[in-house]
Amino acid sequence: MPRRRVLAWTLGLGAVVVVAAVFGFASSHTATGRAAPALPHESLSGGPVTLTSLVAGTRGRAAAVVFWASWCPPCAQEAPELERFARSAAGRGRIVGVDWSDPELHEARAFIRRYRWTFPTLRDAEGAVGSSYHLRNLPTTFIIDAHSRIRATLVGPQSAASLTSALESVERS
Amino acid sequence: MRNNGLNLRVLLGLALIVAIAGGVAVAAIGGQGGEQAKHAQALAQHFEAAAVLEPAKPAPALELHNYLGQPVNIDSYRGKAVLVTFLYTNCPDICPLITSNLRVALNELGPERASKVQVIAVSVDPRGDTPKAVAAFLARHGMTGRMQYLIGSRKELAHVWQAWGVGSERDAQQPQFINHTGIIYGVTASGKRLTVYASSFQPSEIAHDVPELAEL
Repeated sequence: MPRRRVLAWTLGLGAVVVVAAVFGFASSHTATGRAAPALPHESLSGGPVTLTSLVAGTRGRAAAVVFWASWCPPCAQEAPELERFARSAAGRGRIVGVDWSDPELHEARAFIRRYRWTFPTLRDAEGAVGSSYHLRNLPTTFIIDAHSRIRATLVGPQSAASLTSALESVERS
Repeated sequence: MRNNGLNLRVLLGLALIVAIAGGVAVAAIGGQGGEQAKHAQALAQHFEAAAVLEPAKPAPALELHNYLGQPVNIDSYRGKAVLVTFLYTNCPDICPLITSNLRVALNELGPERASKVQVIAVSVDPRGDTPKAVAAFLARHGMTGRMQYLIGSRKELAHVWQAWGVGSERDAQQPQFINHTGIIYGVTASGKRLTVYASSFQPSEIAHDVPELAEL
């Protein structure tokens, strides 16, 4: 089928010229490799955490920053695994959750209670911190190295094993 | 199985946009090299959208009722930029993400610049998107009063879907879900459909483009 016919059929636009404003925009906006932006100030559970305190607490190792929301089904799928990771030797003190763009505070708190999370969670109520991380999907985990740089971006639900593997991979490199 | 995060259903729409944007742009710029292509290329530099439609044509008709039963016509928003997307409230993946990212974009714009844009969502689920479900969805995502969520009968909605080139069909394996086109259109203040955003857009892209759309 001629390209323009496909276009017309698909978008109902007729013969138009479409120009990508940003070719390869996915890679041009990736967060991986740059300095990790500051974490939200508002604490939801587990006490206050800053990027500095998170990194310092790992004593030269990597840490995981997990963006989630109570309205996100894949986040619920991931939730028990995050707690499993947080309780493991590999994960203790090396994970912080960030509740992103979740206007209903009681829903976020209920989510944390439902999955009995013991690791600290912060609240990015207006979504600005997520934007600074170039967040595109939920859940997304950013692996932060000892120099506070984003070294890996994991999209979709993770398991305790995949998180452990990702941290180890960053530490080895 | 839905295990790759909220962006699974975006793949079709995203691939579509990238294919269209890449393929046609290459044809336009490299193959023809005409004035239209040059103008399109120059125009695209002003936007962070995934694609710019050139020449921009008047936005298709969009006249439905919102979940409160009030009539809404896109033409009444002339003078403002308009963002048009297609959602359903029981959507597990891209719809809440699109809605939340639009909210973040409005936050980034701030009250004054956000007043120059109207966000419109058109239902792709005439059966499930009841006024009650829509009210709850908007509240859950902090968009009550900030997004016009339009509903209607299948016939009414199908007319709009067709006019806007949006596909919508119930998932064969999981009939509680609907496979639909997951994109956002940007309409200029003069009523022309100009920009297209993938469902995985970044709020900063919308925040950047809205003032431009509001000036055209």
